[in-house]
Amino acid sequence: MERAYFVVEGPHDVEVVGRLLALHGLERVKWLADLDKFWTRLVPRTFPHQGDLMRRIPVPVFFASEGFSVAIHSAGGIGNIASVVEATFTALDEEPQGLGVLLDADDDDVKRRWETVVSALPTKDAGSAPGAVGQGTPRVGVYVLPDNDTAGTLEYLLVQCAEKAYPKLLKSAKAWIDPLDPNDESIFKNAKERGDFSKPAGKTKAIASCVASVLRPGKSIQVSIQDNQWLRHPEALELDVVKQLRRFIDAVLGVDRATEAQSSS
Amino acid sequence: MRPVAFPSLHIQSFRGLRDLHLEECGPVNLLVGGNNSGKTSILEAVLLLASPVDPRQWEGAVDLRTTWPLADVRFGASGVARLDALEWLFPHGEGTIGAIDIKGGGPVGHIVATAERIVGEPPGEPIVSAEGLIEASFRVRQRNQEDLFEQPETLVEPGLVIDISLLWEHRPVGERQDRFKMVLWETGRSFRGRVRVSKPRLSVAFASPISHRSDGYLATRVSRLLRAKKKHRAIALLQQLDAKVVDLVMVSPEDFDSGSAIPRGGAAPSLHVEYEGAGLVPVHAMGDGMRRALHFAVLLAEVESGGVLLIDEIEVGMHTSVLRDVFNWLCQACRDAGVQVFATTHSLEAVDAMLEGIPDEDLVLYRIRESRARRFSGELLRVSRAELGQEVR
Repeated sequence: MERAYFVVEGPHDVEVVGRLLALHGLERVKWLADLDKFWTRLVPRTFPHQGDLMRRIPVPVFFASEGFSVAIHSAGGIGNIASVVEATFTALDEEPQGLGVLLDADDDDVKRRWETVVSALPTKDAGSAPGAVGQGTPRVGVYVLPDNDTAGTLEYLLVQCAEKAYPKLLKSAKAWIDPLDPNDESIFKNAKERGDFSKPAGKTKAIASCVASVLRPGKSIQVSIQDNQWLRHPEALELDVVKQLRRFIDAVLGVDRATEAQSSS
Repeated sequence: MRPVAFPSLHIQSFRGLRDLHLEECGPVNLLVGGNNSGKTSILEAVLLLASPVDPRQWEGAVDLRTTWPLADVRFGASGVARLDALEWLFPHGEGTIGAIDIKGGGPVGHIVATAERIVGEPPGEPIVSAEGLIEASFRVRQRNQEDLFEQPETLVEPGLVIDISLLWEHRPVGERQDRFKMVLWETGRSFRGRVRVSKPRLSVAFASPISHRSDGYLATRVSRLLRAKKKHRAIALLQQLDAKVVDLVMVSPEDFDSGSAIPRGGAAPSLHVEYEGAGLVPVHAMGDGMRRALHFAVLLAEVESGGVLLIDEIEVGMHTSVLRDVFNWLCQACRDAGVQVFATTHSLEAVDAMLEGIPDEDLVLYRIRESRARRFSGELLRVSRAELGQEVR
């Protein structure tokens, strides 16, 4: 059994990793009784968490197949990633074979973001560059979305997927969002409203959300990632930006090792 | 971090533990882990290391797991030969008894002890010789009232020789090792503390999960405080928890014939807590939680600065709603007194209460499993428990 632990910045990233894991037959684990005992310590047992009735229980999302077992934790921001990894690795009785970290580079230099996280991780040998996976134990890699090179976020990748899977819808969404001016006070009533939209990735995020809203009206983008063709469409899966992420996830997961073990047995 | 008696602990071999490292111990150390993981063994190891050449400490280490002397006396002893119990402190292999090897990271040094069964004649009196020979017996096992009046016969009987080496790495060459031989007998004359052992000794006290339930035991400990002129410390501690506590007193049962010039003899005096407004309340009438808190206060009043307080199953007797306040009180008192705490628990609520009541820098949690310790600093424990809700036990 190959086990891997992914820590990502937000819930959208969780769904992207989950979709790409599904390409290897991994399915979401719904019931505690079906969960690999290896991960049991990561499941909170009390509610409300920290007395907060509104807060989501910080349980990882689990995926499993016959040969793989994966937990994905949403850390809620780059500043929390290292401490989440350290707490989890201490809580578990043994370390998983793979550790993958996904973050974005919306408002910072890619290399600097990568170095910040790598230097804080409790593990050694996190690969030589963003997106590379070290060959130590565990195998560790830190991926900076969208492509380990350009500044941006997950939505940059999703929009490229939409060009293949939903070109007409994407064109409409862009036609609506692109002309909007973040400084137009007749649209945005205050600084808080214009805040996220005025960020570098603001328009790209809004465009991806528009596409998702048509596909799954009233639902969040993460539901659309699960259900729609963003990362199912054959041409989307063959995009360089997606193939690069798939290679990273496969390396952390140890897909080659598992395949070798299967073919030799 | 402030100085502590045990900055680290390395148990190379003791009971079932092998090569266990507790690194960077804190002022308050919580030990968690499954049944039979060795949590209580760690407390026993600390107890021995604190005073390795005191026969009473070896006796105490044996008693930690038993109900003696709290209940077994009533039922004619536990049936477990105490030398057998003592022998089981040593690691057992197939037909062999290995050496105890425990290293403290601080002033307590390092002990290596071996055990050998012998048959012989116990001495009439305990012996402590200048040459490092200590010979003593456990308390006479009193099976029935008649035995109390029988003179112990001098018989050949089994004993246990414990060869103890004390090692100090930081001392100059030639002064790094002291060697003692201790001979302990099952019966015969008790050590009873009449012979003082001047060799290394760290102030230490131990609370078992049941000791607070024995009125006699609590009364004995308060009497000890009284003799040592430390009772006021225990009262001051209790007052921090309940401002209405006035005093701890031993009270005889009420003498109904109060007009008589000479009071009637009756049952033994029992320990009472005097409260402002409520008067004297016998400890036996109190709830489990208050008795446990009283026990903690009495033990803490006994331990000197630089010493260690050991607590097995710290949550026992207390409702979850008071855990935070009691732990906060206890740990603050330990901090003020300069006393390090090692405590075991099975309770996640106790872990969370510790996190709520104690500064992160004072707290360390170790999860023990198969002689390996996973260390959570207070800060890491807060992420694991408060942020992620993980199971750390």
